[in-house]
Amino acid sequence: MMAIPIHHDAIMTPSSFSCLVVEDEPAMRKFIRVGLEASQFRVLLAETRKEGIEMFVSHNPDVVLLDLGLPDGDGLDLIKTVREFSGTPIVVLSARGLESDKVNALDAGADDYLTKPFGMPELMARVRAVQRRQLPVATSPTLSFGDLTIELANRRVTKNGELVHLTPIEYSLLTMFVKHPDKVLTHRMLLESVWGPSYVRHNHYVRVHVAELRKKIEADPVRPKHLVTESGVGYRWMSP
Amino acid sequence: MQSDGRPNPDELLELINRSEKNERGGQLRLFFGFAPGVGKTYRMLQAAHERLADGEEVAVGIVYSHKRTDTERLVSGLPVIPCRLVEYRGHMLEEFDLDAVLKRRPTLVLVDELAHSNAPGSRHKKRWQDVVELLDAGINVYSTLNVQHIESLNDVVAQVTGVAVKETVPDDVFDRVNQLELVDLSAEELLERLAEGKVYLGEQADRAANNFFRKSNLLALRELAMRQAADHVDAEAIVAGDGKSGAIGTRLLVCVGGAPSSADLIRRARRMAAQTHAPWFAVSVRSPQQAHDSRVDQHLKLAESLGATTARIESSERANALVAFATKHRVNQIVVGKPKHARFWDRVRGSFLQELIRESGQIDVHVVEGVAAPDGDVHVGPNSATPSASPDAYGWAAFIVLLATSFAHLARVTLGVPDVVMLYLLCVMWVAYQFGRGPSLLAAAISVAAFDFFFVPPFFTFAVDDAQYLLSFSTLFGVGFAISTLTSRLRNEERAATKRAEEAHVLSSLSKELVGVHRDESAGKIAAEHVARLLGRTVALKLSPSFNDGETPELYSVPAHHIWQPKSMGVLNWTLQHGRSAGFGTTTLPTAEVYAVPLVVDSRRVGALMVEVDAEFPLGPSDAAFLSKVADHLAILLDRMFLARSAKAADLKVERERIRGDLLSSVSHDLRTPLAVITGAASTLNEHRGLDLTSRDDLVSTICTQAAVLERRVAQILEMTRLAGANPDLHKEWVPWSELVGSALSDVSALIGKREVQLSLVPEDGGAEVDGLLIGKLLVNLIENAHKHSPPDVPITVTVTEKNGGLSPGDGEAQNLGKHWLIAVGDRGAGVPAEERQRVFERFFQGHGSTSGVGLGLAICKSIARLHQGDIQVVQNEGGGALFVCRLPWTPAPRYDGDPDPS
Repeated sequence: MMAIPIHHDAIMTPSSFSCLVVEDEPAMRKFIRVGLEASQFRVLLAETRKEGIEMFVSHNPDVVLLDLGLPDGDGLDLIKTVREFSGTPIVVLSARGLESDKVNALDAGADDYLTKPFGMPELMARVRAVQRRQLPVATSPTLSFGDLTIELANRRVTKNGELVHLTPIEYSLLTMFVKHPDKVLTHRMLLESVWGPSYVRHNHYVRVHVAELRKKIEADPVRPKHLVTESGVGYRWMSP
Repeated sequence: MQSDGRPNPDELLELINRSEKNERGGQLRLFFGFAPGVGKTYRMLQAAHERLADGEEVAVGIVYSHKRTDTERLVSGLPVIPCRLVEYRGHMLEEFDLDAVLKRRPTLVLVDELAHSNAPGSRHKKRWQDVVELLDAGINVYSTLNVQHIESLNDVVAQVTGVAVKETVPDDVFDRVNQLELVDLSAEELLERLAEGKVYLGEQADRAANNFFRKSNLLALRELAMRQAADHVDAEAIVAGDGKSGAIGTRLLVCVGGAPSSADLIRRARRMAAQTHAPWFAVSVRSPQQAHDSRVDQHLKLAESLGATTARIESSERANALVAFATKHRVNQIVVGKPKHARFWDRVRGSFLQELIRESGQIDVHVVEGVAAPDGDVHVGPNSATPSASPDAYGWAAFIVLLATSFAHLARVTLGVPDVVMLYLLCVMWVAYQFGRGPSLLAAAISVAAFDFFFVPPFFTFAVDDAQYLLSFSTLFGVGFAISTLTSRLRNEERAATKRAEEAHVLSSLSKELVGVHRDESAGKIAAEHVARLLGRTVALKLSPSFNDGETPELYSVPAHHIWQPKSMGVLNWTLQHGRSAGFGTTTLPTAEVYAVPLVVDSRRVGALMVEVDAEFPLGPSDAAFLSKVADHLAILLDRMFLARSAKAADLKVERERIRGDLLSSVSHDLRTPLAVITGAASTLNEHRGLDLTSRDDLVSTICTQAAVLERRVAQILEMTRLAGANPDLHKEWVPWSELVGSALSDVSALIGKREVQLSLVPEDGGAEVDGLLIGKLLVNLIENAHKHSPPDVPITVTVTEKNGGLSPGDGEAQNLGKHWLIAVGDRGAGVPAEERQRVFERFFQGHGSTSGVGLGLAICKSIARLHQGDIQVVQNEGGGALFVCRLPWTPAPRYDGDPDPS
């Protein structure tokens, strides 16, 4: 694992917080810049993959907003290059209908994605979420999400105070989710960490166990509050 | 009938076509002389030097200098493409290298001696074929030729000089000459040069040459050459637009039979036609009773090689049919041979000639004496022999008569003389039926002898006591002869009929097999397989590139993995390219062990068919004829299939264009409306800075909502385009219904707000093998649709149930469905009127009272259901409203074997 730089004071002082926007469409660039600057961010702009990597190296931004379709190559390459030496959060911007691109970007190390067209509030929410995840996780042995409590130390899960019986797989899945709150986890990531790398093609394993897990921890498994589906991409654990 | 001497339009058109063809291909300039030694080669080299001086790219393909220094000097000034060296019977022969020239592609190449025969193993048998290929490839050629080598003059020259020339050039090649240069010398001068040793005569110089170079010969040849050159100039004048050549209205027909004299008749007709530049036809007419005569095929082939259009007519009224053909083709002169048979037969069968003359009306009939050429004069196509009885058959004939004799001799006490005669007649008849005419005549002769020897007193001698027996003998022999003639004719007819029936059956079964086939790919395969089965040979079929999409493999071999020699493939490709047969028995690549025929319809080259020929499967003329019949039939079938297919493709294209048109008109309306609102609101905000806060907020939120509308519509249009595409990818995975419905509900939550959705999933943990994103979209569209068309306070119902069996709920045939999923989305709105229930799923359909949306939502649902081998329909919901029911195939839940160690 690489060392992940941690910005302790990032959210408190936005003006010191820099955001690199790699986007070839001038209108999009303008809209994002205006929006971010209105929220007191320092904005760096790049038009191509090459320029993006150069800016990243020279300015070391706190977050990257990356358009996947760049004129000089796939944005995916930029993710891979950056991930070789840095854990800086990357949010991918991509059009609707290109779900497999999003999955590839997430599997390559992107932290989140936004489907175009998006509004400024959605963008800010994503940026804040990835930023928050950079903060050190409280090493509390007990996590609490509304009606749900998870005691990591003794593997106990309770819903409204009642003990929930989970199989080992369901428990592994649950801990994987709660350790990455608000982050989209693709099927591949879940299969790799819970079942092992040789199972990455068995997407239905995840689906079956997520359905089981939901029956046990959600009030209404079809309308989940904690473990929501990101269509065609994966699942996201919603922190309250 | 045209007899006014005006140029016939067809004729002119043909000439113009020919000259156009020449313009596209290379130009042929021929240095034409009447005998060796007049200086053709020398003159050709001089002309080449002139071209070279003009800066043209000239090359010498092959030139025979015969060691003459002045000629050699001229050659050495030109770039030479080296000859191929071919070993033939221990000699090294220099041969013109066609491929080297084609590869180098000079603009002009010199090829001496057009009539030369190539060494065995060359691509073509004759050099003129090499030249034709060069011209077709667009390379200009200079060549030389003596008059006696022209095919149609061949026999004249032989008559005049007494020297037969074997190497001939077909007249249509000569007609193709663009520039004819007569290289002339007086006979005296030529003889002088000969005396000085300046004329090269080859190895067998003296005797033949002495015969040939007689002054009378030379004068005759010179005249022939000059006339030929003059004729050629005439033809050029017509092409050039003068069109005043007197007899251009002439159209000639020669009637061809199987007699050897027909070949001569054809040559004479060709000369008559050439003198007047008339198009000419060679036609064989036979009555259905006549047996097939392979010599007729040869004669027709000869005529074709001399430039005739050939045809076969089969009719019991031969003269009538011939005149009808002639009238149809505006023929005004018919050439027929003088009858050779005894007048007696005319009495019996009626005279064809007399009938023809009576029927001919305005058509002139020329009756010409045809000279029977010695055997082997006609060398066209594979050698043939009329089937004759084997020596075995004669043995059998003798044996059977002897058998009958011994039987009759043993039973002589009970048998009377007439019985014995009858028995012999029976034997003769049977032999005639089994073995044909020759053996039956033998049987008749032996019968007479045996009858005399054993049954006519005095016994056991050939002497005859009673003269009345002589009459018996002659009657026995005469009746035997008549029987044998009739029986063998009957047998031939029966065989011909059987063969025709077989062929007809074979062709019709080929049609039947191909009729059901719609894709050319399998058509080619089926055709090749069928032909292979039919002939019992190894077969290859290759289709023209223009007759396939470039996707399907062009070559079909049966057996499928047969490895063809490169030479064989060369034959196939050559046939495909040139539309003429090649390989074994032809003049192109004759050493190959394959025979290929083109598949041609109306001069469209559909493909080529090739069969293997070897010792085990020799290729007789009837095989070749049958093969070309199969090829013609196949060509028509395949061509028709291709036409149908391209028509269908065109229909599809029209349909696609129509959809695109619909889409565009829909887009322009449905996208413009939100765009107009956004533009208006944004420009208002831009210009009126002083707006109060409420108005500003109002406009801004209008922009936001309209932008969302716009986005959704664009997404729908894109989705529809993708689904309507040729092959949308489906990413099928097993997904639980709870997840599918759940994510659909979360997608629509923003739109439907707090409205209640009643869910029912039975069984609770069921799932389906589907493209999750697409099924999600289907659910979203159905829920949105229900939301839009029903009052906001009543719940929407979504149910997913597993159903086992049952009949298809729709109209039409009842069909057992097996296990399937039913996904139903119901509302309590106005419902869909019965007459609109089909149409709601059509693209761009706007239901009554519906004003928003592109009219694509339900069409998308239908496409998605179809892509999953399901369907969708709308019915009246129990208790009012619409119920949309989508049926999807049931798939078992996937196996789960992935529990890791419970650690």
